[in-house]
Amino acid sequence: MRRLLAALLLLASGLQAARAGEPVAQPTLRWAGDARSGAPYEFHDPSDPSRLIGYEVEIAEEVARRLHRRPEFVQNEFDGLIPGLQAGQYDIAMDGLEITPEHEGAVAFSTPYYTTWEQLVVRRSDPRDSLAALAHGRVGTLRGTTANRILEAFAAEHPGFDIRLYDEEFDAYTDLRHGRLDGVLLDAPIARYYAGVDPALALVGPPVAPISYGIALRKTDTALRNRIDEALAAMRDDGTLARILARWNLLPEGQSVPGVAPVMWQHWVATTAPVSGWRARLHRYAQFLPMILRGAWMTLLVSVLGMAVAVVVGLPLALLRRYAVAPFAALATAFIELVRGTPLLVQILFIFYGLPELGIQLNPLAAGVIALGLNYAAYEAENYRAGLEAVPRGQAEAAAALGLSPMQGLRYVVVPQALRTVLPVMTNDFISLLKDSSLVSVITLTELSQTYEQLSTTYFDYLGPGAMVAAAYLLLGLPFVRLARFAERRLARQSGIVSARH
Amino acid sequence: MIRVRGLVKRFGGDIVLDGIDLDVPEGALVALIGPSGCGKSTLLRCLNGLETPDSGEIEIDGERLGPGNAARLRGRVGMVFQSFNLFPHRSVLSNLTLAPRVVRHRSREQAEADARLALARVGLSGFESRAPATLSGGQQQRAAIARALAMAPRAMLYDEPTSALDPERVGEVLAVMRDLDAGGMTQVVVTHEMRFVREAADTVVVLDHGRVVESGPAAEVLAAPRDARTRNFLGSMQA
Ligand SMILES: Nc1ncnc2c1ncn2[C@@H]1O[C@H](COP(=O)(O)OP(=O)(O)OP(=O)(O)O)[C@@H](O)[C@H]1O
Ligand SMILES: [Mg+2]
Repeated sequence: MRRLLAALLLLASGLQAARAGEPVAQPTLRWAGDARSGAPYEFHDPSDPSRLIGYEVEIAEEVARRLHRRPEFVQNEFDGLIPGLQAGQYDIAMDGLEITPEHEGAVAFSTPYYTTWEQLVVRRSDPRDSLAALAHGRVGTLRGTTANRILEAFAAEHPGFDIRLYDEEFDAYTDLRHGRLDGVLLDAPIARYYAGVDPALALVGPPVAPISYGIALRKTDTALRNRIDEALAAMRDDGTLARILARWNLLPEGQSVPGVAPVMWQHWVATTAPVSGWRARLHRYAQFLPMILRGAWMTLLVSVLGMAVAVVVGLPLALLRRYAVAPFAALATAFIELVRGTPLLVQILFIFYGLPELGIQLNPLAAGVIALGLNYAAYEAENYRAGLEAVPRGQAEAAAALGLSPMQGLRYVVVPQALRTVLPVMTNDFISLLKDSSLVSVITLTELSQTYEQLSTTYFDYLGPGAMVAAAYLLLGLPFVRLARFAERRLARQSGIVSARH
Repeated sequence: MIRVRGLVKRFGGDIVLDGIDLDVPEGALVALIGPSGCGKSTLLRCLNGLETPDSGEIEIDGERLGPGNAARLRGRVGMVFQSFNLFPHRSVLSNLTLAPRVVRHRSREQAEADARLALARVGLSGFESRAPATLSGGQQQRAAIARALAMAPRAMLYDEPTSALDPERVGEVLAVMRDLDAGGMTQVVVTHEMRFVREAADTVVVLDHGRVVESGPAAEVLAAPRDARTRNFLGSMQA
């Protein structure tokens, strides 16, 4: 137990210490984005999902190089990018973040690194080829984007207009294809990468509204912002930026860079073409394995450490509740009720994003472990309580009759027996924790469920990766299912149930 | 050895022990009998400090029992329960060594040597590494006696030590108590085994409603009870 605690403390002091201890001359530039279905911004290379690619990846790496810093990508949900930046989880955020007055209220921006527009996409068979023509139609877009606001303004003037909001661009285009939508309005690069490759869809009409992407920073980081602006200016002047955009086929119509082919665009078109045949499919799935292994390792790590916290913290909670004087018992009860009465997701977000405002900064792994650990501690405390109650009164009496103090009686006689009765239940709880650990994906940890999202949104394939991830969860849980059975059998043997058979 | 004067114990409003006087001389075997609920168990539990009396005094070996020394005196008065209460998660040997090691800070070697002697005394040599659940009831109760003996008590208290046993297992436990009696151990036994009381006890104390209604040499009290309540009780035992 003591060794476990020490390990956890180490973990809590975590990444910071590890980073400080590294003899690396170059400091890191931690940059965040949402790599799930994020083409062409940042996304997992469909031909090698463990590789992060995207025109923003190239820009970020070039900026970092010019700042003499080592780029380090942090995966985060799109909605969490700005909160995470404010909470100090990374230095900058880049994910087609539009420079708008709303965003500028919360964060600072570099000069724009890319200027584009909102692009309307309709079915090729549909003659309505502008927003005005769709005044009585149904148009989809991503929640919280500039396109969202444009459509709302449009709807205010056209009562028959219907807006549908999505979290994944892929889903919006799928619904358009299936006739559930009449149009999709989204940033032109998204339209080009997700709709432009589909012969059933057409990019139509004039640019709807100009938008500019900037690198988001904390408002206080003015020095960093100045240096990034200098780097971007130099990249504009020496043609680096144009070369990157040319590789990704993202230059304005009619512009080109001599000698630079749109190789990354071609790569995208080639790799996302639907694969046919078993061989191609299996070959693709084999490539998922390293990512799934990495996700499984993270799931296991968070779960095992989280359970260790739960097991260690749960016991004193249960003992306080059962044996301590009123105020302490009440505190323990209050904690347990608080934890059991609020959603785990809220607790995770609170610990990761809320605590930094109180000056407690935790790295994602520590935050995930502590959130899961404290949550499960409340449930383990209840298990311990049941276990303590299951120990016959005569045991504590026999200990007392031998001269043991109440504390000694607990330590040597009652608690060890309670532990044995709760072990099977705890093992089962661990299996639930293994599944609940998927919630830590909201705080930038790429565990199994996050890996599934990344793979499925990269390939528009929910089936194969789903089966693989399900198998990984089952394999992770299997040893613990067996442990639970073993513990149950041993418990039964000890209480004489099995020996009665002889 | 054990001296009780004016012992009163209440649970809530009920008086369970109502002014008990009791003397247990060194080396004596005293049988405590009486109808169910008359306070026998409560009296035993007061004697080793598991219950705190409301008034009256208890002297063990010349030392007055109080909150300050209850834990220490408990080590000197062994207690054996009807349901054995062996620690199921520990081997027989470590059932015996726990208290000497934790309470008396004996070394492992010392505690184990003492424990083996105690096991030999109750006829359980060779059972050291067994789990309690694998022993018969009679063996478990003898192990429980050995566990109390391992603390080298000056007196032993038994609360219906054979009531949970199969009839054919009762004798082996009583034999251990007889043997201890022969060795000069001071013992107080709550029991319904009238034959054992008649044959082995020096003194019989009859309790009823928290009072001592009769006490005296076993042969006399059992053969010619003077108090009507004793006659009633003994009559009910034969029925
Ligand atoms: N912890 C307790 N709280 C309240 N009442 C108690 C408690 N322990 C014992 N009593 C009551 O005190 C009375 C005497 O109980 P005690 O166990 O001493 O009787 P006993 O003579 O040992 O009976 P038996 O032969 O059935 O074991 C009973 O009425 C019992 O209900
Ligand atoms: Mg009793």
